[in-house]
Amino acid sequence: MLRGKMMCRGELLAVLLTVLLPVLLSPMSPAFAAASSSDNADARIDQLAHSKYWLRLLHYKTSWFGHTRSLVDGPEFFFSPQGKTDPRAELVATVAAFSKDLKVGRLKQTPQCAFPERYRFLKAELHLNVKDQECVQLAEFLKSFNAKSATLVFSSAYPNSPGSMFGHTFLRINTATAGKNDLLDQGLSFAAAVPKDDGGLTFAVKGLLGGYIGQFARVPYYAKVNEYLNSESRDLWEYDLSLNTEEVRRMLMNAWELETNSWFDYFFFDENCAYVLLSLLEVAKPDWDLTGFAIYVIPGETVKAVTRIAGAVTGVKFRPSLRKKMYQRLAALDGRQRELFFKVIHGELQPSGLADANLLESVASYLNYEKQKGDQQATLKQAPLLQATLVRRSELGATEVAQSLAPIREDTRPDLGHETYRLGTSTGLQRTSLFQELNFKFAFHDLLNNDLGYMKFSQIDFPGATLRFLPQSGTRPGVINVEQVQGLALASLFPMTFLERRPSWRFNLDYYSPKDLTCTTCHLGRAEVGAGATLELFSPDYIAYALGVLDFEVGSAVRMGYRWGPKIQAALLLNPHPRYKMQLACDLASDLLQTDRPRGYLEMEWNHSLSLSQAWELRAGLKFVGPLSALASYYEEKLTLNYYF
Amino acid sequence: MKLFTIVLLALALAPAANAQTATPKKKHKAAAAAAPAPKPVAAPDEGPSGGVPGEPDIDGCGLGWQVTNSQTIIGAITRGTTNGTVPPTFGMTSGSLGCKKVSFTVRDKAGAVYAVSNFDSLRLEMAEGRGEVLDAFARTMGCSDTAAFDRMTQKNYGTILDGNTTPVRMFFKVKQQIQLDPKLATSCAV
Repeated sequence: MLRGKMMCRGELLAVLLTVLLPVLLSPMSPAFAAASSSDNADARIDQLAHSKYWLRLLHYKTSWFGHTRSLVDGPEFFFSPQGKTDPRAELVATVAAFSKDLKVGRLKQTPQCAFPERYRFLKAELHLNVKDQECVQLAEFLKSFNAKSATLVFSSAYPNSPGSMFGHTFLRINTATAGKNDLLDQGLSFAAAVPKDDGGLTFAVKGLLGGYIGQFARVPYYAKVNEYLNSESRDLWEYDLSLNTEEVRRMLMNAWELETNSWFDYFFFDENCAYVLLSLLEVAKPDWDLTGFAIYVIPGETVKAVTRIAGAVTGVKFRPSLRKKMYQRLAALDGRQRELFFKVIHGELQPSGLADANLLESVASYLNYEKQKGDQQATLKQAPLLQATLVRRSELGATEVAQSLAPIREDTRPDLGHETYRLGTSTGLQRTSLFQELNFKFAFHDLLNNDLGYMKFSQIDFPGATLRFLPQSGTRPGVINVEQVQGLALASLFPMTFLERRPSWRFNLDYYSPKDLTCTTCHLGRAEVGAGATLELFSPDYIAYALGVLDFEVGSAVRMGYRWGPKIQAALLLNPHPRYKMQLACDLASDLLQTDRPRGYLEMEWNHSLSLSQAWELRAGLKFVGPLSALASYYEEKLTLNYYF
Repeated sequence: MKLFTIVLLALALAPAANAQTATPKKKHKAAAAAAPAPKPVAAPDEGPSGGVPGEPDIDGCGLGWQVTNSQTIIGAITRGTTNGTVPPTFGMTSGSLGCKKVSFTVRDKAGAVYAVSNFDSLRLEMAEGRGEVLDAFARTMGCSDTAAFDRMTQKNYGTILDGNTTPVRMFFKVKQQIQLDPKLATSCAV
């Protein structure tokens, strides 16, 4: 891993070398001589070295400053010492290597077998006079896929792990086998190779800095389905791609070239699973430009990038999580069945006496869902009941018609979600003075956003800032105030159900302009951690939550330079129409250190948001902050137009 | 006033979201292609013990290693493609279970690995007599008549799964039942 990073640092030197030594060292092999017999061979080499396909095959990217550099980090991926930054030198060296007696990469293969797609491409384009070799391992590899087409698979977010907050993408390589079952296809994924004992913080830091090596892995699709749908209860979205057999084969060959000779350093934000898969798709389809974004790449965004290309996706399939399927079954039970259901799971009624297949299947579905949570003790306790239920169910044989099940909402489909960068402008009144605001946020999703394509009632916000301009009024000059600089804000509101009691929680780190103090432009740094419960009110679209929050703030605006205290946050969050959300929130905060001022204050907010499209959103809000005493209270009204891009 | 104009403009320009339409994925239900002939590999060290005759003594601990851990391409290649020898690297989820080295025929390996990975879902679907996971299991056993396979596993559920059955044992019992079923014995390529 370290070695990988040092290679990257050595890049500066390599760039210099590239400038100084253009093609002075270009080796002339017999094969190359044959290709360059014509006068304009040099021109042809130039043309080819800068052709889209060659650049894609070696994953060259051109930076904002015009430097060309390959994303690939392993030195064995390049035949030329300047290969990482010089596509032409690499092309010339590669051609030369094909007729040399070399063993390269981790499998010690000949250049042809190690780089089969480069070989195919260059041989065809330059009419190389080189004899084809037999590549046994490569043939075995390709055979294991027996590829016909490919599907891009997206797994929805999993809030319990920092590496999965944004979901994950991988490819499913569909076999040519007739009458195939999708589960038996092979999954091709790219992921960080993380040692088992790297804990949360190490994982986060190393992940951000590129301390892990990214590797391709081939896993049966059923294992992926088990991992995501069952163990982690995430949804899977399958996007069938319009790739033909030859295009899929090119992609696999490129994966082979990368994996048997090299690696990518893995970066959470850019060179991640999503980005590398897109680079691979660009090899399959040189017409597709998918890796245009900068700064960060989120798996959901890669799906959007693909779906934006007309004709790239030929079909979309939804695989709901085990949890959703279980609730779907339970929702279909009538009152009497539900009563029996509880009797069975509480051990008051033996399944052997039942003759209702739907009820038995619901019980089995619930017990199986519980089992997937991985609590060994509970599983052991429930094992006899599960077995008895399944035996009884099997005795009933094939049922006539399964109870009609209400369709599961397909609301996590990532390509329909709003975009992730946000730029917004607001106008409002702060007490009686007019103000204008400008806000910008890098990512991702907050509680007032349209949840389509995201995890419902969740928040993941990354750095952003809001500036407020207060025009001159009376004697006070005009002022620009930093309203808020967001560090990180996370919230997960899990409604409790009759079967599950999961806590809800939130975390917030920001720098903001407090309104409970008398100053207008003072600031505090703030950290809040909260946990509590969420309840569903009649429908999954209406929730109420209450959180106990511990708040710690630092800044010269408060006595002693800091303040802290518990806070109670209670709110209603209603989503009566997919495009409209309303939040009524009430915070009761205490400030334990104050002696000369009230120790508590009340903050109330009433917000509305109307999602107009994937890009546009309108918000309106009222805010009231009142110290629990005679001090003047603060209030503001605000209208915001947000643009997502 | 200015803001109002912007809002109007936004409303006018905003394209209708959610315009994407999905074509449902077509699922092929044609007969399975002929599978390659099984290549038997002798169990080298530890022999079978207990349970079903011919069934290796393995507690479902080792096979999981192959499927619960991503197979890097290199790993898959260098591990060899000859048979299903399972090195006792580590147990599945509940710590090391002292797995033994077992061999399967190439043919059996696909089904056995599949059974280990999908055990929980298979139990449910066998009892219910239907499902995609069960359908794929039938195919790993070379059975193209998945409906007949579903009926057989449902009918013999109690024999195949007695409550303490390990995934590998379940696999061998299913194999045994296939041979006992006149229709499946001829139509499956076990």
